[in-house]
Amino acid sequence: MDIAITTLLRAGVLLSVGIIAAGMVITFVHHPDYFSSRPALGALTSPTAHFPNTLIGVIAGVRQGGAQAIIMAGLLVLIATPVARVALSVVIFIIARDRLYTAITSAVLLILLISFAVGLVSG
Amino acid sequence: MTPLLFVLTVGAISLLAGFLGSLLGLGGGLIVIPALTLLLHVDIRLAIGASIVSVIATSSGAAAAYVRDRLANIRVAMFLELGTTLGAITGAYLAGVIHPRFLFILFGLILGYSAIAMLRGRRRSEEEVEVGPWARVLRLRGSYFDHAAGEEIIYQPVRARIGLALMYIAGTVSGLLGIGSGALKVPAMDLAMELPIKVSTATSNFMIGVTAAASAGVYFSRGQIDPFIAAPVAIGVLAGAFAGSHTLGRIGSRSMRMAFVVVLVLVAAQMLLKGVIG
Repeated sequence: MDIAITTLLRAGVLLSVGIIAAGMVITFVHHPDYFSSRPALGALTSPTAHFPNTLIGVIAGVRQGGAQAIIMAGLLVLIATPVARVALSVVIFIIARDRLYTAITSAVLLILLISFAVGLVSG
Repeated sequence: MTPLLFVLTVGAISLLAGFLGSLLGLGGGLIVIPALTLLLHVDIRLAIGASIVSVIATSSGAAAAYVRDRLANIRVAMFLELGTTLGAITGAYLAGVIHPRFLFILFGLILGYSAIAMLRGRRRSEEEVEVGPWARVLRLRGSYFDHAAGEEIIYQPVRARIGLALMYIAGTVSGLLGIGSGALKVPAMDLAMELPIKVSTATSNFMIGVTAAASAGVYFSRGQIDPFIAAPVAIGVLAGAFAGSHTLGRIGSRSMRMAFVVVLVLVAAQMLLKGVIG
């Protein structure tokens, strides 16, 4: 059980780091002025800065090779990793025929998915 | 400041946040939010979005090593996550009903009390606590090899029901205030369930990622996660948490406890200040 969970966590982390780092490299390759220009930072970190904030937007952005969308995809992999960990635990407990913990982890996964859905609606 | 310098600065601060966060079972928002807003003048909404990313990165970056070294007790974590996730929903529902200022003061007082209680330590020698039916049925007993002490530590968690109730409160607070509640989780596991301090921080670290992931969807759709800020935070924190998770085993339990109490006092002061000033 431990090995499956550590492998999943490592894979999720490495995948997200790889994607985020690639996105950062592309950002700086596309914008050589970011190495020296001071005003460029303001537009990147202002509260009105424009970046993808929907799944569809991220996917469309990645297809066009947009650096911001690629970074966002990496961040989404990072966010999904703990959820995947809970889902994997459910499977492991089912295989081990551990009814008590199958019930506990399934309930956690369900609550997690509900809160995710509620969040997306109310957010 | 140029964008390059900004990325390097945020990355360096995040490295430190990930290192400390993974050792103490906290998310690192404690360092990331003030650094981004006060030092780098980033908008608070974007700083909070980056802090959510920091919590998840701290948790996932360190968890693999903690599970391997048996420092994180997976059964305890799974059971307590019932409380934290349900609490997170309750908190999101209650937001807007309860005044945040009142909550910050309450939270500050609870943390201050926890710090004093943890400083005094547990008096387990006086009376042996009964394990209780829940802790037995849930098979929460665990063990790990303590590199600092040079011996295998076997422990039996107690008061599982009280632990679950406290996690529900911790989850509600994090849902309401939008902060990771590792600072509440660790004292609950330490004081109520009597877990060894390193197991408490490692297990808290294991759990905070799940709680944060539940609310990350909201921050993402509200556009609070700015890739240019969150990218160096994620990479810096992951690297720091990886280093921290390979250090925890070698630190003595007494110094760990003291370090946690100091941080607890700082967080309590920060919360009280927020509550009083507004």
